[in-house]
Amino acid sequence: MPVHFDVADGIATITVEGSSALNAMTYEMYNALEDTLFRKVDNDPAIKVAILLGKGANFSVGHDLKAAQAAIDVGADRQVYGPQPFYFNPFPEILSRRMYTPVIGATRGWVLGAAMCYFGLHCSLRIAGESSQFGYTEIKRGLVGASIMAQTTSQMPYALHMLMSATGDTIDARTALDAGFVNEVVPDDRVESRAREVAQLVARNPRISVKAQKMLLIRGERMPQQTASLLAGSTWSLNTLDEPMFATMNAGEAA
Amino acid sequence: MSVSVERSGAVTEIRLSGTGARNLATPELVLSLNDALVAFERDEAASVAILAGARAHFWGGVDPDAQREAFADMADMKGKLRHFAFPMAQDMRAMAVAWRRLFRWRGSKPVIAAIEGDCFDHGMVLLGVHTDLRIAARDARFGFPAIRRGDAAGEALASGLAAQIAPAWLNWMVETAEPIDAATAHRAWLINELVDDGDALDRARALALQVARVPAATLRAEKLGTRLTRTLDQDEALIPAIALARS
Repeated sequence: MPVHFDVADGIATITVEGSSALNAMTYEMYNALEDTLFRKVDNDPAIKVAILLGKGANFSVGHDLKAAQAAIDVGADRQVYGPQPFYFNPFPEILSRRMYTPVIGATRGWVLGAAMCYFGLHCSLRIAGESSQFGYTEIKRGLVGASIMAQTTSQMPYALHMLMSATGDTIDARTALDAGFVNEVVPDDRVESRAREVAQLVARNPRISVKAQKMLLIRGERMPQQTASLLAGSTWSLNTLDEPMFATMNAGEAA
Repeated sequence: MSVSVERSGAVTEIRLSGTGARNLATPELVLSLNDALVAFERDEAASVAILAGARAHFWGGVDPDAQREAFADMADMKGKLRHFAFPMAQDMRAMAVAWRRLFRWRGSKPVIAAIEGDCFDHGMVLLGVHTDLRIAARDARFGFPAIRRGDAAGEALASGLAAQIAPAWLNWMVETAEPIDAATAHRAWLINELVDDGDALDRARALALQVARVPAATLRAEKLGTRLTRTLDQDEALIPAIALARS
């Protein structure tokens, strides 16, 4: 069972478990993650936030390149991956959809390649264990594109991202923190508990408010500012159309 | 008096007075602030402004009583439609129109925010849209705590902060609805400088004098260029850049 899923108190915990400690990703995992994230988490009114973890000492080293190479060697790639000439057809659904539910990415060890696609694109809040190493090491082997698919270019300073893209080297947790790529760095043995604490902060908030605000941010990512302002202004009516929400907001509770 | 404006040389100082110790915004504050910013933009003698709270907080949130009163006619669908679907029918000085205009309108002159205490919810929109340089005291806090109370509107989107700070930090403020402290805001480049409590306005004044030494036309061109060309292609961005350089 490569993807474990468990819900308690409105917090979903998703744990990726590969066949080895490296948690290399397989097609079975991509499908399971897509199903878990988009069909289970984002659609369930009982779930307010999700935590995404890798089992053990690593988040994930990314796509299982050995398995992919083995498939190419026996000519099985065209059957598995479809008619595209490029052997690696990466999970298109998961790259073009976005999570409107907050997802806390919590890492230890390697966060590479395809794993950065999940971490960068779908994890809106990030807790890094001290051993975390983020990067696109597949670049050293000539494989292109994960850094663009992960859209991490807009999540850290340009010069740092180019360092990763041009060398294929990883950056450590501290560097990621300084760059604003992750929110916190904690000792490795505190990763799950800190992620849970943050999840509880999120879970205290009304689900619709958080989802609406997050959805607007995602929709507004490439929107000109004037259009974004108009959209935001018109959503103010959300506060009034749902009477209980408006009433709560105007109850004047202390922040 | 919800907004006080004082000009000294090329520097205009705008102080915000909301209600109560937390400086909560009222409809009158929104209307007056809108007017003050427009007047600053049109004042040919003024080239830089400072925005500060008149009390211990910058913008603590919205005064719910004042807001309920201002939006009392939204109790029924006709009122809601009038406010949101047909805004042109509104009296231009009406609260909803002024509110929308305040948070959309862009000025061309640099504004320095001097933040003590809380800068919450629409205060963040003010920060992102209308201010360009930010000095904050150590006790300052930034965030969207109204989300915790059910606010589903797009303050975070309207603030434009997605283009100014790391997404992970904007996400944090929105999804946890927990305010971040000034030190974190500084690390996230939400603010330029951290000062001791009580010193934000003095530091902002010193910075304003520095900014005022740059020719006014240059300041306007630089601000407009920076804001407008952020999302343009390189070639597209050259056109306004050259036009601004020549003007």
